[in-house]
Amino acid sequence: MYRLPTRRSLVGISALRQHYLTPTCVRNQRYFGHSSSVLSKTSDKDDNFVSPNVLVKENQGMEGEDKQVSMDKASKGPLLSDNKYEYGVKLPAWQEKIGEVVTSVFRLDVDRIRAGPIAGSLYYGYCKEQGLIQKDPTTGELTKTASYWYETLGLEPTFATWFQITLLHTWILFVRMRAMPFKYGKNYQQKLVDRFFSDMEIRLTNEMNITSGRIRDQYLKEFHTQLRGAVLGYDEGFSTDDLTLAYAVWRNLFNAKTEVDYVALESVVRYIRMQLYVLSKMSDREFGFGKFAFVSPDEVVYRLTEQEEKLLKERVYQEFESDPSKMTISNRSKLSLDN
Amino acid sequence: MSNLKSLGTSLLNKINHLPKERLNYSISFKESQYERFRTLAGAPKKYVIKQKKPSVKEIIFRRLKPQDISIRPEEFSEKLSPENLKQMIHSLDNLSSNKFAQYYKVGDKLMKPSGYPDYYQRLMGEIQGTNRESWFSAFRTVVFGK
Repeated sequence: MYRLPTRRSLVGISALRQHYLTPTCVRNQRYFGHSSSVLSKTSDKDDNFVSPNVLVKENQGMEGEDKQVSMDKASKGPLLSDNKYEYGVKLPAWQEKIGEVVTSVFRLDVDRIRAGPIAGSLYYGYCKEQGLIQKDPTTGELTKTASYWYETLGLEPTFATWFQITLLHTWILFVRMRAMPFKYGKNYQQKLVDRFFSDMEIRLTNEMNITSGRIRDQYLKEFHTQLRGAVLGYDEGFSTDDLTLAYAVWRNLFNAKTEVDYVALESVVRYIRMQLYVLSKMSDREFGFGKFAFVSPDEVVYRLTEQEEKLLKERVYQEFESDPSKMTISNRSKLSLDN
Repeated sequence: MSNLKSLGTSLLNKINHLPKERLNYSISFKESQYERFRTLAGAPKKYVIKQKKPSVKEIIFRRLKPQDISIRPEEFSEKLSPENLKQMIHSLDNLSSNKFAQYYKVGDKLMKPSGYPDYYQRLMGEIQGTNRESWFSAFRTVVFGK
């Protein structure tokens, strides 16, 4: 059967991104990824190549003080669920065999089935953990992504802010899902948003202690309205210009706060454009198989040269189509490797 | 202080040249930022900014903020430094020049997505009012999903 997403993969970076897309940005190091890139000849060398996180830290904002987020507010529940299969436990071989037989006999569309574990579990996990207040297992401190949103950008560490951060990442994935074939893209979007709201309901009950179903439903309806408004604003910004995108970010993520730091707005716009660029360079198959992971705010994405794009494509073909005869039924796919 | 004022004037000029939002939102970025910085540049009041409803906490503990959102003169040196203002002007320039959209070009793959090829054209047509959805096309979208 298809591989279930593992807990480890939620914090890992895919090999492709590591090698080609995001050389880690070291503070103050103006590193040009590709000497042949057009940008390296024409760019403004002062600020082009710093990560969104460094951009804000180097240009201290209005308040001029570091916010510290208390770990008392750390999320207490599991990242996804109590189901062991969401954390890398593999099915026994005999169950996998049965799954293969059923898929083959009933000619099930595996690309549709894959939407559940990939969009509803793996990708939702990525979106959720970005703004989740939790300890980094290696350092014991706040995770890098949460530190960026709450400490560097100074957003209020509340449930509503977590919702807005998760929503922003969900929208980024929506943009790529729209570029998949209609029936698959729609299915991926549906699974992602379904999981988002079912998880919110669980968090509202267990962590916010809202036990009344009626009140919970009211909150969910309110959040749904916010989702529709935010998607409209982000879509408008994406299809027009950076300034419109910044307006949308200010209105949603920064809650239309008057005392906003423009450096923070610029940083978030840069962050969003970086993610969308990486997604635009991924084929449907890679994306559909869960090979995407969000670029950390500490990293920088450089434009790829034509040669690098070619190399990337070759690598992807090698990974997915090296030996089709050995491929299990559940690993076959109709998703394109070229789009 | 004079340095702050000249930077404030320059920032206010840039804010004045920002385009307004296409949709009619309850609070506009341009208007709220103009009102925020106008005292720094000594400019007159121009817009009425709607105040957000106070939260329950604010009502209970009387933490209601004053109606005027502009920075008061006595707060200038406390809240702003010339460096901050320079950075903010620089960021606003970067956003206005569409720098990141041009650098991270995504191409037709995402702008005309194969699942919904005219998604963004329809959206912008509706927002700008140039190509409004008809009753029939809206119904078709609801039934077939695109």
